[in-house]
Amino acid sequence: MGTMDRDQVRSLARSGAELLHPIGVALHDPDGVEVAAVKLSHAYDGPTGEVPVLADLTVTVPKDGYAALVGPSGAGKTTLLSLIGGLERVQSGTLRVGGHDVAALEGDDLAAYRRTTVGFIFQNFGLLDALTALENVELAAMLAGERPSRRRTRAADLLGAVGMTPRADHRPGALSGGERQRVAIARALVNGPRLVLADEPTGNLDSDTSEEVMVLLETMRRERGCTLLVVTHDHGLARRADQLLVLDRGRIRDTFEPDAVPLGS
Amino acid sequence: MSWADAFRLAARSVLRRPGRVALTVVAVALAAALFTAMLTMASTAQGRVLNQLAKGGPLAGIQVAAAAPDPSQLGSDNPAQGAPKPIDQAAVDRIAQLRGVDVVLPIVTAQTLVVWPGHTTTDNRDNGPDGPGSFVFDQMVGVDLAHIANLPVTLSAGRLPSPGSTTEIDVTPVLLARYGIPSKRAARSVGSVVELGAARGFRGADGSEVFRGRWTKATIVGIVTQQATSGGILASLSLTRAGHDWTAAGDPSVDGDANRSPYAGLFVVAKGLDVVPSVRAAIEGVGYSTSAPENLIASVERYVRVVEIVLAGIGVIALAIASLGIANALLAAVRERRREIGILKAVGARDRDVLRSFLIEAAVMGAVGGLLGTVLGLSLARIVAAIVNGYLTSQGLAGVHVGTPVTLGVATVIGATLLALLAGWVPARRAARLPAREAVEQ
Repeated sequence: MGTMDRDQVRSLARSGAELLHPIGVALHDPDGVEVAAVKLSHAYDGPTGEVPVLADLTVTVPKDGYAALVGPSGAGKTTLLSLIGGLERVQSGTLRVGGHDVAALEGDDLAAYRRTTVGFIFQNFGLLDALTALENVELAAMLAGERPSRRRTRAADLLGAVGMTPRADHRPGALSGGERQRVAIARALVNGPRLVLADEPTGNLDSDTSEEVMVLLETMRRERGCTLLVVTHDHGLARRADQLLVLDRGRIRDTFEPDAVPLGS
Repeated sequence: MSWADAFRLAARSVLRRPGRVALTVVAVALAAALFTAMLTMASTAQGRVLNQLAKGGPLAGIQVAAAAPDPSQLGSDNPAQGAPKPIDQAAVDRIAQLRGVDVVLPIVTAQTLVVWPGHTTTDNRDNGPDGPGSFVFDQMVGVDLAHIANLPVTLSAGRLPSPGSTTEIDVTPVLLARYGIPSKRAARSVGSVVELGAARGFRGADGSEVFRGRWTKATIVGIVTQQATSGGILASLSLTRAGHDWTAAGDPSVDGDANRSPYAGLFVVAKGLDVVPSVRAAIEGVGYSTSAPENLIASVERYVRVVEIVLAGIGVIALAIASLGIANALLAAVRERRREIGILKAVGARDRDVLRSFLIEAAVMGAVGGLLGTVLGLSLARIVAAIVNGYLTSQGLAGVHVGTPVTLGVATVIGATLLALLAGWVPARRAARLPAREAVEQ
């Protein structure tokens, strides 16, 4: 399997050339899942009562789709992503991801859903400080009960694919923001998820590094065929998606097709 | 997640916070050390002071008097004696054959005049060879000094006379007090030479009562307290027997009070505290009065048991406090690692994976602390035993032996681990129930 180093990724990203480089090790045939939320409502307990975050939200992201979720702070983007990712329990409405009725999942089934169907990429990278880059990637496979030798090989391959082989034995504290996010991407892919959720994946990165990370994500999606849902404030980033979902006050206000995004709106 | 993976993850977490983990482990280790040391010392005391001494030591000793038993006094520790009854070798052999008897140590006594050149006594108005106050009468007690550990003799200064020596004696503080020497200056008497006289009474040619002395010189080599029988001088059997035989060969019509029994008494060591009553009864069946501190020993035994229970209780309390330390450390860890736990769950960890990881952390801290504490506690017990040994051997007694109580060590490690698991249960449950959304909360 070939790998790209940081310079190669940056060079390709700047040239605008199409990235055909294979990333990751496929666990199954590339196959994304459809995400379908119907009348999804969610509220948090606040000091003065319930604070509604999502209100009868209905949205569909097609199988193998690439959707960007934008909107002002407090619009409910991260909550929606958390619900889809199984990090938050569905309070009201229905949410189907592939064959899973997410609202009905609980306990070990919910953990298995998070482990095998979803790959999560966090704005704050979500890496464990005590583990090296390689061990962080290996972690998700370890939780899936995979044999050490096999998961280590796959984690090393994935780190190579995101250009992090030379930094595999470094802990997150010794990595730059971009490097951490690459490790996080590798970890999100290690169990071959059919849906990748990225919460502000470039929120803590400079523009060059953001570009690199997005190139990696898009290449991954193209090669693996999984569904990609990205929460972002970056309109430049949002334009790269097939589908732009504008969330406002807990509802989908607009849905745009590619190249129809009214930038600055 | 497999147990091996959970262990690996827990180990990483432990190594990440070395300071706090080390402090927690030290707390557990100290508690386990306290527990182990206390129980080891208590059980050694129990074994040594009661069992070991009782099985062949002074505590299981029965004093047999050269007198018949008084039927009205049976069962008491110090009964009044009946009529005098000599103890001969046949009686010694017969008592030695009784069931439950371990050792029979004969005691020989001799009434002795003590002349201490340069010293005068105020408790004797008789005119001695050198005028008033120049001598005292006391009793020399002769025992087999090779078996001194079996006798109720405590050395406070100097040493014991060599077995068989006819020129060495130990004296008691009571005898020294008769010369006006207080206990705190008793040790200064070691090395002094005294003259010892045994008197033989006979009738002269004119029918008058005449006493002739048999004089020997002896060096005071030690200061002792002894309860083998009454007497201010402790000496070898041969020295005492020489004086006794000299006196006993006198004319009974002149010195009717002289002790003519070959043995003034016996010190019979029973094979155990539990057989002391039956051995006493058997000896009284042979026809001799006995005394033994069996009621006192039973009380001591109860006190030692109570002390053992109290010490074990203190150890358990210490371990419980240490386990609270583990709980506190883990609760702090859960508080600090909310995001980390959220991430674990976000990437697919089940509740039981998180629970397992935290419980392993607790168990590791408990086990390592317990192990270190056991080693430390046994070392402490050995240090204390060495100090006690120094004292016991200076008293001419056998030293204590602290073995390696494997069962206690294993039980302490297992106990510390189980307590740690118990203490870690609540924090681990709390961690396991944290929602995965902690991963995305800032």
